[in-house]
Amino acid sequence: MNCRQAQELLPDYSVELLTGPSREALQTHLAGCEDCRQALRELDESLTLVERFGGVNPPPGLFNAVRNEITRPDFRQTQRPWWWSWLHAPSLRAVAMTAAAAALAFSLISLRGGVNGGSQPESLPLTLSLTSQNRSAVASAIQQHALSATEGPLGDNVAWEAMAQLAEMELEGNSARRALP
Amino acid sequence: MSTLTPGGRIVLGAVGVVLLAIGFLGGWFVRGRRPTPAAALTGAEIIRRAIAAERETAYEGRQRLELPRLHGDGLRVLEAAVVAAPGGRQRIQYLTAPLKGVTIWYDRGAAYRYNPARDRLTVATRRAQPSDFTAEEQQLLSNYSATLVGADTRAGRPVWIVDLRPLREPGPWRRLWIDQQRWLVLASTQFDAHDKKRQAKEFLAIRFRSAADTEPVLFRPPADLLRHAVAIRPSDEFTVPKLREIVEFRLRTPTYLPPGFSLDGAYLHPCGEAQLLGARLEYGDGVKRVTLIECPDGGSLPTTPASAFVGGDTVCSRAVDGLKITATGEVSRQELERLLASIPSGH
Repeated sequence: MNCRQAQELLPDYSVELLTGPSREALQTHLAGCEDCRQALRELDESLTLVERFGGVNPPPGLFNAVRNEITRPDFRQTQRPWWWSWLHAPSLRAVAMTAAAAALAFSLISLRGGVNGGSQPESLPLTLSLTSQNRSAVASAIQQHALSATEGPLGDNVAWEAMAQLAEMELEGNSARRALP
Repeated sequence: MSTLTPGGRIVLGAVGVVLLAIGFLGGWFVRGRRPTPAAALTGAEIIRRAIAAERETAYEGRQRLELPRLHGDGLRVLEAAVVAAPGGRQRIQYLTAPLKGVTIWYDRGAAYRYNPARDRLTVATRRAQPSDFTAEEQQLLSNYSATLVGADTRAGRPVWIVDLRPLREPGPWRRLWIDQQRWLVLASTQFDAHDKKRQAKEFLAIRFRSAADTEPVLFRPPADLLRHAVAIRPSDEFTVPKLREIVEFRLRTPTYLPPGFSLDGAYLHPCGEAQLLGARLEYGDGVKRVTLIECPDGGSLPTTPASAFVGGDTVCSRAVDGLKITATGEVSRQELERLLASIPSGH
């Protein structure tokens, strides 16, 4: 088995789909080939990244569209561009997969708002303990904020006035609780 | 058709011509009355007209509100009857528990708030001056993109749907449903940065009135209530330097503000049950606001910002040299904590 044959089998081998003589031949080759072991490590890292950030479901119809394209009568006769064989060189395939997985992982992180903060700080534990004194200060701040927002330009004052009234009820409830023996 | 006589063809032709004429005249009539076509409008123009209409339209209607609960998840649903007149005058009567019977009156210069459960009327001066609206409109349109995204119907009336999204970075945004003929905001929904609904309002029914059809007495409480006003809450606006002279502590201002925000006003604030003299600073970006309250009772608060999530917003507090500084607003917790952390300590 040469490197080209080995690297074509690596994707199946990395997800435990390769069995029988092919698996044994590949393992024998890997034992003596540092380049192919490196390609396998990169492939495993790519798959780990994908597993860590979750799978993405393909859009509906993608499978059928790809299958239709492959089974199109003139598909095999289509002229390949000059870079086609270069792109399909086994040594570059693992690199391309790594890059694609990294791009996917980065997109997922960005979508979840993790790179520049986004929602990440919101998931930190809330640290202001709502003691009765703090509850009053908090309700007072919310009430005052709502009253200020009633002056806003887009007519949400009915909602903000209600919010201010609800905060005032909370304030009075706190006062009453503190007054109890 | 081949069996038609020449006379029948003439009659049929005449009927066709008459139908065409009716169609043409009908189209011309409807065109004269229908709303401005969408092609002639931009989202920004619709927002400008909506801001003006908010203060100058006379109507009465019933609103359905969805508000965040102060503690716990989910939204609370309330209904209110609203009457409005030019000059920003308004009367709001809440119709559902727990605010049933609460009534708010906006006269030209004052806001009156009455809660029958406590039989208490408070009076506060109103900030709004005509020049403020122009500045707010400019600030809003410089910080948000207004995009016309479609048309629909609300309260039985045709509306434009306009999305207001922050220009600088993803963040809380609003969708507005604006009347195509009267330009009033008939519904609006506020979303957080992750498109989760955090607050909404919608007119269930609305009837527009003429300005002459509104009676001034509607926009002030009855005289017997006014005689028993038990709390007056003046909200005189100061400059920060003037407020510094009044309060008996060193007023702090943050060195960091969220993008697009600027100081809207500085006010006195009664702190706690002892009503200690505190200060309140208001910041805004044309749509969202941040309220910062400074009170001379730092207590046992930590010096680094501590946050709680209350009423749909983050409330963030820290102690600075014996002052308790609390901030809340429709910005992310990260922004609020950064603002609070930027307040300098030391003398």
